[in-house]
Amino acid sequence: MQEKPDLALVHAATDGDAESFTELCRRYYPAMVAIAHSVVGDRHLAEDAAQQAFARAAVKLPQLKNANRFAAWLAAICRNVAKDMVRTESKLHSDENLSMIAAQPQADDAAEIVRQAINRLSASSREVIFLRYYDGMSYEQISTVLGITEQAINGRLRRAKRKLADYLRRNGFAED
Amino acid sequence: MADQENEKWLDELISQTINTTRPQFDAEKWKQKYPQEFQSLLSRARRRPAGSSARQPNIRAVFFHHRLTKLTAAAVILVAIGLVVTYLGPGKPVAPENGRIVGNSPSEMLSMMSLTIAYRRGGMEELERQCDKAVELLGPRLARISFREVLDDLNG
Repeated sequence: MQEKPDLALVHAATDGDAESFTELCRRYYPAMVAIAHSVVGDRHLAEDAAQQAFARAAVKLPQLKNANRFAAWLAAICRNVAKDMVRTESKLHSDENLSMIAAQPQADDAAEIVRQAINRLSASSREVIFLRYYDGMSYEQISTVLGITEQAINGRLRRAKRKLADYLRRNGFAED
Repeated sequence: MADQENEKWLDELISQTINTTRPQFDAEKWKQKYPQEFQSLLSRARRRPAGSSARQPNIRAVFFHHRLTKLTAAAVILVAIGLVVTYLGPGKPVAPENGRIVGNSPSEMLSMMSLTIAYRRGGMEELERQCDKAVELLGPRLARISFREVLDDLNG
């Protein structure tokens, strides 16, 4: 069965059709989790952020001016929710006992270095990396979500990967 | 190709680090977690009168979204400009009414209003005729003439 196009779902959801809205959520959940993960750096928090973004979108949907840009609009909401979460978390952590954090088991060293390399990227580059590797999204899908051209995504992805490769080589990773 | 081969190790490292299992959206859990927002969504359906669910297409958005409609609009504008020029412009020069010249003195003949009337009446030919007539009325002049003399002549 052919999927209903996003535009029809967005219009129906704006008119209060819950089924259409949840279908949109289902379609964009992985992308929103990837975007939020690139900001908060934690999978569970990212899922919370994506769900919260859907909640905000459910209320604000009538304010959406161009239904064709629903995905990009949703991504902007998700980004803001994730940033708010980071601010809240950083406040909480500043009050926590630092020794508790230090006592947490350290992850695998190699993974930790890759994570550091990803964290050193700019927010926009990190976002593209997460979208591309989280769910194996195509350039076309990423383009819809970020509201930029496929060429721009290709350029952003290439630059990000070059930076990652440089950092990893400097830290003893060999390409074999 | 070589680039793609060289990037394999990097792709693997990134994939291993980022948790790539596809997240699944649980609609029921979401509705329970955000009941107010979900109710806000449903309330819009209640507010809409029955039978009005068919959304009016946003004509402006449809118009400017498609390349074909943009091209059609440009063509329509060009045709409209062509029609305006054809029917409201000077058109073909016509013979002047009874060969009448607008204005009595050379200065009146060369005023903007007289020249405009002449142009509307007979196009460039009539305009040229009116200028010639004004020069003719001024008569032959010395090759060297002062600015004051030119003004005096023009003012009659």
